[in-house]
Amino acid sequence: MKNFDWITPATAKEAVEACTAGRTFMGGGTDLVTLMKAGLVEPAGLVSLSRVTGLDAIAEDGEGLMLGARVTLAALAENTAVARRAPAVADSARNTATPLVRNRATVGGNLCQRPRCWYFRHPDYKCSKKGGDTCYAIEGENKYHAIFENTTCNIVHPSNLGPAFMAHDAELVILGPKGERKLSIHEFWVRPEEDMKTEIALDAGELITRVDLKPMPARTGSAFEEVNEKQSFDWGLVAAAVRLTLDGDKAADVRIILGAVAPVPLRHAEAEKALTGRVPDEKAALAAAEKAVEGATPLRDNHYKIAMLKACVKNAILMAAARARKAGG
Amino acid sequence: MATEDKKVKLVLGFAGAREEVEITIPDEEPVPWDLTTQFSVVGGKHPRSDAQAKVTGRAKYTHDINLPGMLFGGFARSPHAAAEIVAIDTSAAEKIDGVKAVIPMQQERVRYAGQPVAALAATTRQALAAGIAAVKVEWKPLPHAARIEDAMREGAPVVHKNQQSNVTGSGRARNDERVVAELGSSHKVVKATARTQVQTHSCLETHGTVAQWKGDDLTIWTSTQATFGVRSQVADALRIDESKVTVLCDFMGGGFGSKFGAGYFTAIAARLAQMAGAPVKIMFDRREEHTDTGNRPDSIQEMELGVSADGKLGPYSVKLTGTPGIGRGAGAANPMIYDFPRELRAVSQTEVATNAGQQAAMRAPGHPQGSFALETILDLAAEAIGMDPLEFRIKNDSNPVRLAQYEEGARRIGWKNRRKNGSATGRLRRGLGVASGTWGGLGGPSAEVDCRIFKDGSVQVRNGSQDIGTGTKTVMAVVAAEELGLPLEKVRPFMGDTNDPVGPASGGSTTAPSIAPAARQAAYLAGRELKALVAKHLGVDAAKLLMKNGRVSTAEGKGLSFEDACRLISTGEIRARGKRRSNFKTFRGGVAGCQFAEVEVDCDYGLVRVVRIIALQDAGIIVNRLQAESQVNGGVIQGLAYALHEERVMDRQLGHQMNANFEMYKIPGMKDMPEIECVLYDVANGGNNTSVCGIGEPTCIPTASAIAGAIHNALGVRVLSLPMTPDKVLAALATKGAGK
Repeated sequence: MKNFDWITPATAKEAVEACTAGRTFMGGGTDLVTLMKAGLVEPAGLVSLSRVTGLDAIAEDGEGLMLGARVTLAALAENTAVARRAPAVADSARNTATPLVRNRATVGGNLCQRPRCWYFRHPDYKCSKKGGDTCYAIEGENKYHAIFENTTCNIVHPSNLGPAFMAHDAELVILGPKGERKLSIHEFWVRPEEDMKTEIALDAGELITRVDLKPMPARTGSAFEEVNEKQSFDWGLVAAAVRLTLDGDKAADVRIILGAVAPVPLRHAEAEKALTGRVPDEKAALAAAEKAVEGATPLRDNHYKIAMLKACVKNAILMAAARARKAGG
Repeated sequence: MATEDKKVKLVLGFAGAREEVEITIPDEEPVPWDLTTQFSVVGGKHPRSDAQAKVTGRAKYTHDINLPGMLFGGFARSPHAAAEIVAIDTSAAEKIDGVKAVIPMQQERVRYAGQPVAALAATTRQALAAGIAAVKVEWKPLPHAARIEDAMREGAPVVHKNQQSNVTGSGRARNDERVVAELGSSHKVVKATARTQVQTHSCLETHGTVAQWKGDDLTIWTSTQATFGVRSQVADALRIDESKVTVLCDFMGGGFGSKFGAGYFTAIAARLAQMAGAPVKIMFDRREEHTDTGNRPDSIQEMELGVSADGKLGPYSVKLTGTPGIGRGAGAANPMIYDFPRELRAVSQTEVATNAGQQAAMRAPGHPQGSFALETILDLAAEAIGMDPLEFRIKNDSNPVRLAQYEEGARRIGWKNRRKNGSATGRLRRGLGVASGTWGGLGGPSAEVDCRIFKDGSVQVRNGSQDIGTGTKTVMAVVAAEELGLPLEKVRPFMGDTNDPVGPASGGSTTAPSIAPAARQAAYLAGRELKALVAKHLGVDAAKLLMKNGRVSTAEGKGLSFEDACRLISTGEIRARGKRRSNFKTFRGGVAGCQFAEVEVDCDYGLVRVVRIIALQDAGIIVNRLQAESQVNGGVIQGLAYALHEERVMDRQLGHQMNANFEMYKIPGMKDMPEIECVLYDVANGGNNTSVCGIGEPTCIPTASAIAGAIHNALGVRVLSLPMTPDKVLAALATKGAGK
């Protein structure tokens, strides 16, 4: 690890001003520090968000939920308003890593974390993401890699809040050198074919300050389901976030987002369509889940993800539907 | 002093099988404990003597040693799995600010990624990293084979120079032909190929050493399983007198077999310290720990077993293949435990060299991998003849301790409610499994312990070998307290300093059974001296004096308190040396254990949750029940990790380990833990004056096999490969068409 400056601004504006060339923001640091230790990033300075005021609040009003970027996953998991108004987000936060990590890791950091692909993380592999000319996962050890949109690069996006935020149409509030802007979470992800060097649409020096979630309509439920090899601290093998509204007893306004199976979280219109207008029971859920895994392009060692993802989508649909039935309105 | 041998009668065995034996022991040996002994300290639940120091952080591990002016040492390592070193130039590294010493490790070629090529010492970690980066090596990369599959392929790159092939061993066994013939005439023949993975030791405290010179004298702090082994190996490597070397290891954060020797880094730390004129600390990082400190070899075990209609084991053929990396030795203990007809076994062994770090002994070497395959073929055989797998084992196991354990374990897990294999339905399916373990762990010479009784009534027991976290220190204290009739807290144990009496390397679960008898004898001899003083003072016969309840007195009560007795010491202290002698007659040659597992499989995801493990284990006479239970828990946890999670993943392209960390090398955590029920069997095994046996290794042997059996029971299909991860469970379910 190289030496670096340590800056602790008091406001978001100061933080953005301080984050000049070569410097980077640090929230919980749970990912950034591992990247620095591996020599994958060598920032000249860290702009710590630890003392920035106003970034760690969870606020609730008629407009919805506002989550500060420095809200920890532990705080998110424990918050009753989040559990009530965005159950998929609460599911997702609860399932992440360990209590130790959840106490440090932040909402903003979860969205900005880099992929866990072991070729990307290994210092002796110059893969295409690091300026090389190949994706080692294609021929290599690819049990944990992508099964969709994986011709160029086989990472899976590691953010588990990402799919849950997509199910709730989150809007990101971003502060940068040119001022504040808002960006839909659906526009946030960058595919390797667009830009190999990044996974997200933040410009240099831009900082996520808040994530806004609109209120859910009546009779709506959401859920996030993730499968892990072990239950204490593990990355998802597959994940699904689902939201639906009941129109009578039929599913409407369906969102189905797949996680841990592609370089970005995938919203799946075909699967959503398959469920829309149907009673969201086991049979309909399975039909939608089958749609969701159509066209998968697994690698040598990750065919298992197809069956697993199918079950995962089905279970997330059933959980979201059960919650919708219980919800008021 | 003339000594006479004594003849003593002992009652050995356990509640289920008693056996009277007569042995002859020297006069200076206490009468061995047996089934008739009444204990006051032994067998209780005692927190370990260093518990407070450990939980408060006062305990100093090698990692915690920081000396004034100390330098940080480390290694430049190969980025290639196989390469020739055309040239190595350390001159730029030597010029880096803060770099104080550089040692090129002369080599013509490297044979695994991460192999060290130069050692450096620097004033800071940053300077060390800069120095390592500045070591210039001109490589000529060579083709490599980092995985066993790649190395076995025809035309595979050959790992070792001067060898034709990576494969050694013919794959043929002596009585192949006879076994093949007998298989042909067996009632039923079952075949299976089981595979186990490479597991790394994953010590929480990584390997490392701090070396400090004072004049010609060298002090080594090191995280080791063998303080005395390190002393002689370092003296030998540096060509200095052993009398000049002191090795210290007060506390130690896990070895599991990988810290059995000094390691190349210890002598290097000493040489760097000598060159730089300052102490040097080398502690491996997690990547180095995974890739360069040893591992449990993988295995491919092809088995064929014939069974009779009434469920007796018949002819058995097993072909074992495994990789020791660039090292030697990759056997699996298969068969074992059960009553296979001796003349009808055909066991062949093949080793495959790979471009990977070399294997090292790991907790019950050969056994967990052998067990997984063996118990697999047993379950399949039982299924083939329609017999209950527990009944099948009972029919083929003659160990009296284990037979008792089977009965008790079956009762506790509710075996009678076990359903037929594969009869469970629905998403969550439960199943039960059973498997067995065996181990030696009787210990033996050389081990010596000093017992010191001070004038104020306090007591020390001292041995110079190491307590590797298993609690040997506390075992010494318990044994001495029992012998001297004192409460445990009156006896202070010391280990981990080679200036104290000699002791064994910690391997084969032999440390406690080697040291405890020496500790008891030391306390016995020291107590005898104290008794002589009391006898003289009170005018009673020393032979009539007992040491009990803090008193030295006759059965009638004539005597002194221990403290008053100690005031009679005129020589400053009593110091007696106990010596471990060779084993006497024993009840059994080793220890017995078996485990029962209950699992719940989520068939949507192929996820296995272990609900419960019942671990039944004998370890001779149990000295400290709390620690023994801890040992069992630890074995089960490591066994569960082996069953479901741990696996070294080598990249077939560049030959690196892809998961040399604790993120993708998966170690289970709290949420993955089952309920563990530990059932200890007190067996007066004889063999030494305490009947203590080792328990570190045997309890990690059957866990994975019992879990595999339970999965088989739940799903009706066998997962033949470790770790039994969701992808493999889903694949197994798919072959059965039972996915829904």
